[in-house]
Amino acid sequence: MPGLLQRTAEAVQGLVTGLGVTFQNLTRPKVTLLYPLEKSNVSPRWHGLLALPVDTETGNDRCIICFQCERICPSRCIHIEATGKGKERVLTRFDIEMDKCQYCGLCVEVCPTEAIVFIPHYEASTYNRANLLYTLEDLHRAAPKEPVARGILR
Amino acid sequence: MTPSRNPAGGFFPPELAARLRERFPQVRDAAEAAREALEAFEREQEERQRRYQEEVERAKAEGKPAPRPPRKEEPAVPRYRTPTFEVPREVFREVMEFLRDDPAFRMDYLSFVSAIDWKDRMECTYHLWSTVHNHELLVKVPVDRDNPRIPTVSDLWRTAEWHERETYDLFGVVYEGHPDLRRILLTEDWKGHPLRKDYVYEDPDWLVELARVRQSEISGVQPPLGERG
Amino acid sequence: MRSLRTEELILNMGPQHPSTHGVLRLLVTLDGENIVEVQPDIGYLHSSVEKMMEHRNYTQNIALADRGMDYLAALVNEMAILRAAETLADVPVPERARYIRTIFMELQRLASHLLWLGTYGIDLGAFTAFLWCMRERELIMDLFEATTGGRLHHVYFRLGGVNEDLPPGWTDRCREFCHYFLNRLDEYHRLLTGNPIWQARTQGVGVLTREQAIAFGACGPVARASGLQWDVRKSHPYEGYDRVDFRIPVYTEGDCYARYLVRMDEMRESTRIILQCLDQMPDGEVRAPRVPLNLKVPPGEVYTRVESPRGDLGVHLVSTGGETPWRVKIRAPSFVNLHALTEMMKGWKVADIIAILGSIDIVLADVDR
Repeated sequence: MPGLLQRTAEAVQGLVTGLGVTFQNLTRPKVTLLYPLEKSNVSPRWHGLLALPVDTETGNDRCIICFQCERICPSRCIHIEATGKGKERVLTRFDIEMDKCQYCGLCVEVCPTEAIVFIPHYEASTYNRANLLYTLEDLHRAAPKEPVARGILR
Repeated sequence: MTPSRNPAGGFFPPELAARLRERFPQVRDAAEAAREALEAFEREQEERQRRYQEEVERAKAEGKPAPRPPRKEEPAVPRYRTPTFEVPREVFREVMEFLRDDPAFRMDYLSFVSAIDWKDRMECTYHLWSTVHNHELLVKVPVDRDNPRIPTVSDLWRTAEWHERETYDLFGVVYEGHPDLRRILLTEDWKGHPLRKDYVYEDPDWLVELARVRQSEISGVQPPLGERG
Repeated sequence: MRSLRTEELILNMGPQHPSTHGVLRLLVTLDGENIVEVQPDIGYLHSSVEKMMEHRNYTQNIALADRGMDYLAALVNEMAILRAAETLADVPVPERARYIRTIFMELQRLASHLLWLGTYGIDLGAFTAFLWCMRERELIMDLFEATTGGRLHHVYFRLGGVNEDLPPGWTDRCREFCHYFLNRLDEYHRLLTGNPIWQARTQGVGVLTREQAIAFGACGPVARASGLQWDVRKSHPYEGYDRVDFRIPVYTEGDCYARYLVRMDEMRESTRIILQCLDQMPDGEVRAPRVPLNLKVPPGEVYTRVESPRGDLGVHLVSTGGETPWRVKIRAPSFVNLHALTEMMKGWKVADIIAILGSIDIVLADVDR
């Protein structure tokens, strides 16, 4: 008999604990985010989309065409081509296949001039896979408009 | 359980290793062979250094400029951070039974069964561990690469059943006496063994053909997807 | 009266079913309601990670280990690869990085066990547990996000340390979470442990004896619930585990309830480890200088193991001295535990399949690799 009483008490305890949390939450403020209307804040280190920020002084990005990001990429989704010699050297192609990208951040880590950065953006889904090929213009446009702080600040 | 004396790679007591080699003289300690090779390499380096010193002194006596010192070389001797024993195929079953049943060894836990393809040869690997004494070792058995066959150990450790199926699937090693040797990860109509070094993995012909047949089966009377207008 | 003719029935469970925790197909041979034999059919998630690793260098393999293997314990996978590579190449790791790694692996264990508890609750019809566990797991994900930038896949550990130091204020947030979580853990116990339905579904169900556990190579919580007192963190200590005080929970019943209790106790121990690490953690560098990203590991072989939330995760690394490994054998804990499942299920009823399958906590990406 005491065993039955104890088991009943334990069963009721579980019920009371569960409902207790429910009733406590009735009095608390709402935490639900109305997602498409409100956006959630992500951390400054967020591995979001990639971008090539444009330097306001020179009007160009900071890429020095060293191909390090292309080499380190585990899924080989960065494609770089360049023409010219010495100071005249310019990027002709900087494509990132975002559908292959696994957001590992190795390209951001190896970049010597911090030309390629993560931006705190997380809405990359699209109906067409072709939209996920990001060209140089897309990467310039995706970059934040205000100047990006450089150096290890995070 | 007391911590292992070599936590990173695992520890196997030297006295037990000596006992094992006394019982089975064919068994070879890979680490010892590597150690001997390393010592030989160091002797060679010393010899080279000595000869260089002689040359320097001779050059000094003759008034010539000193010759350049020899390049520092890294030994190409493999490191064995886990106790490793090479066991010939003939005594393999005996050794495994001995390792499992002898009270001083009691290697009752089989961690994995696998293989290494060295392009010119193949080795089957077994990792054994003792839940009682916390010592472990890696057993390597050389097999014929073109026709790899080895007796099963699934009657000694039940866990080997699936590990051997996996190794059969990925390397093509045939385990003689295995109760149910089928592919486990890949489909039954797969051709080839993917973890072999010579496996063609970029659109092999048979796979393209198989995909085409499957697609025509699915689409029935309709032509395959690629050939529609 | 003529006796009724009965014959065995083969039932196909999966591969697409929410309660199989991924794409697992179970071929169940039934005699009425009783299970005669279970044959798991695996390989639906096979991506041949071992082959892919042979074509990438060690830093790239960290990113691969995150995704290709057990995706619910990404940081532990990274550690498994790194432990093998660092042992073979003698890479020094700064003291602070060791503690950071320990903290993150334990947080990962908490996150993984919480997800397991939630989904196991759903399997057995307790929906509340799922919502509660997700609530706490979300806080851990936020802690991950603040430091590593990723929530599920981090790529945070590197050869010779970790990628970046902890952000300012992170340790206080983590400490606050640990104290909060200990209270929540008591709440879970009040909700589930004494619940008669929970007990009826799990107690005495799917028993695996100690001998069977060893023979099947079962590891992790499954082995500990069967009375095998073994934890890689104790038997082969790595990182900061030999400097903190914690206990290995062991139960001898070997049933689903024991596995549940082992994981619940483990969560408490993990929280204790995190708190101790936060207290002991020294200041300083988090990454050894001059370890190149394309490190050439000297030729040799090593087999190292780490304790993943699912058990003993081993990596047999064979290097020939190049930038890429010659062969990586990943010994996945879910693979062996799933094999032990065939023995656990014999003689139970159809309704117990889900209870037993859920209790061994498999991740199919870990089984298939």
